[in-house]
Amino acid sequence: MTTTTTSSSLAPPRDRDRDRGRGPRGLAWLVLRQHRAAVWTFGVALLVLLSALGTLYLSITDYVADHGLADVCTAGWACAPDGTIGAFSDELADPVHYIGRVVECLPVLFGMFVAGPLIARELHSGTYKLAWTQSVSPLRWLAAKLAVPATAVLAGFSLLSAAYTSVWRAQPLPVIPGQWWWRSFPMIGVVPVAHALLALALGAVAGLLLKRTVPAMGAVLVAYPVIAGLLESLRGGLVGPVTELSAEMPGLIRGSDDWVTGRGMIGQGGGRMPEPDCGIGVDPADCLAQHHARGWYVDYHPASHLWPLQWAEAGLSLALAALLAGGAVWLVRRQWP
Amino acid sequence: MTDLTFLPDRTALEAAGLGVRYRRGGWALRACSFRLPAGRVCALVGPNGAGKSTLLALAAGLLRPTEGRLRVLGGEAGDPGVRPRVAYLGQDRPLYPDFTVAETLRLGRELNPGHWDQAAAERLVHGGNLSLHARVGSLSGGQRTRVALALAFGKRPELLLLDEPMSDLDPLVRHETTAALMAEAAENATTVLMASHVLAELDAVCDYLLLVSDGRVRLAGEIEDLISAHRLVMGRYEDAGTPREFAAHTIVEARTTGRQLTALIRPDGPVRGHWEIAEPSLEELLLAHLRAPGAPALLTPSAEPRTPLDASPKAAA
Repeated sequence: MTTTTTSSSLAPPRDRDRDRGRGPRGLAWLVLRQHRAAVWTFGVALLVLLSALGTLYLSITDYVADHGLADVCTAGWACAPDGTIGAFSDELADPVHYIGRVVECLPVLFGMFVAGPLIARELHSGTYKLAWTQSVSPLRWLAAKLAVPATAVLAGFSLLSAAYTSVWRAQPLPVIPGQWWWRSFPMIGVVPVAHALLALALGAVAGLLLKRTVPAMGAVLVAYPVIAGLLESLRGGLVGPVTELSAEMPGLIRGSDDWVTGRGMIGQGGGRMPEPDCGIGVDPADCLAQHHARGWYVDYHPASHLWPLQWAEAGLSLALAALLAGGAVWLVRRQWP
Repeated sequence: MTDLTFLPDRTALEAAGLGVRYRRGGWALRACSFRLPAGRVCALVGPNGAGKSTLLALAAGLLRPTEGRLRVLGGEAGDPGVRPRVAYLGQDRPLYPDFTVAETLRLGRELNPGHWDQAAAERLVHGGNLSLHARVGSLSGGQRTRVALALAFGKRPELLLLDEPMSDLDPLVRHETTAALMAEAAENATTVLMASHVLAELDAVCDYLLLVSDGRVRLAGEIEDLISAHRLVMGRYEDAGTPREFAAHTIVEARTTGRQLTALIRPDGPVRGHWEIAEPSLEELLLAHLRAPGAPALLTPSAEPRTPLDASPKAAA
């Protein structure tokens, strides 16, 4: 029984450097190699978006300079010469906005990718056993599955968001109501990056829980918009708004700089009545009398609140992401050695 | 064969009160206690669904036991320090279908820095006339097994866990692969735990046995010792029940065909009466135990766990 047909030697363990070029090592190599097609797809999509944004940036600055929009529009709303704003909107502002929508939707796509192909497919097909029996503990495996896409998010989304933010800023924003700062909020600044990290952690939890590609992706597709909606509903309260009191009923639109988050009456005792029901066609002054109120208040965020709000929402998203990542670690530790 | 490499003091695997419950109830393994000394080539035998694959997956660190514990090479199964020293060939041979053979071997090299033996892995692949540039997804079942075995071998493990390693190899390749496996194992003093249905294959290469059925350990120990602890007793017998002179011994199984009684017993002292007594073959030993699920378990001294269950920190917690 000791006969051997294959000769074996006691050659010492060695690495052949044949295809050991530069590049990632170990688990990072494995994750990138496994998802080579996805890496290329994301890379190409990023390049396409960046070059589109670059082209738009140049066209916008040219257009703004040619039509004198920069000077005219410091005055505010509807100040530009006839036709130039309409043409600008159709040719340049709309494409910018559509790219913004793409930036807004990319996190959920990314989360679906993490949930399905990255995690659930491995658990379902059993290929996770390959790494786990090649000296990689389940926790290290999960760490790589989170770290590699997180690095991609930090690099890719930071670049994309920075590019988009500069293009957005280059526009004569006061004359494009659809892109006032609070309307473009989830597409600019640090928020897209934080949202993408949140979607990634959500994807990891979905993948570990459901262990099947399509259900895991579906779960992210359903759950992420719910979380994004929740974040949006909390947004106005993340930083204390500025309150203005007046005797006359204030308007809900205060131009491009101020984001109105609440309006209502101040009662005799000083209590607030948000948007009281006065019936249709009732004069605001009568309405005030009906409710025995002293006057009106309006809460709004001035443009200077953009960055505090951005950092607050990014922080909240990252805290949620950390919570979910902790959940993913817990799921792995609970199920596997 | 393994006399040269047999290390009586060291323990490759030690289970104490080991149990795994399925998520939907029912136990895959229950109250398993045994020991596998290092340096042995052990056959893991049992009917389908007996818990063989579960036991191997536990040892490989792919599953967490529900109760009890399994120590592997001196550490807990799945410990970061243990994983690099254990290799596992799963029954489903999980491999990435879009990787080439060379990339699959690179996976082993990338994930086992410092202890990967590319030469050993490539030797196994080349033995099968496999191109390194072939996609794993385009390979036949036997070729995939070869690649999976190469990954297991390349790790230079101290403990090699094989789940039905030869099931999809043709007889010639099976013979060659078994020989290569045994040569590698002998040279590196690798402990091998191999689940298989092919008894003939096991008889030739294994010197240790672990019989599992219904999630329990039935027999464990050196094959020679297990066989010599049993006797196959045959003779004419017309009464009902079992002969009185067997009362001193443990009866594993007794069957009567016409007037002919055939019994497998564990003799305790000489067997009296006019019986034809023979040493059972490994197959007879296994079949008799599988047909008689009520027979008491037998563990040889080397297969008895050395650390009591109470000493387990997890059991105490």
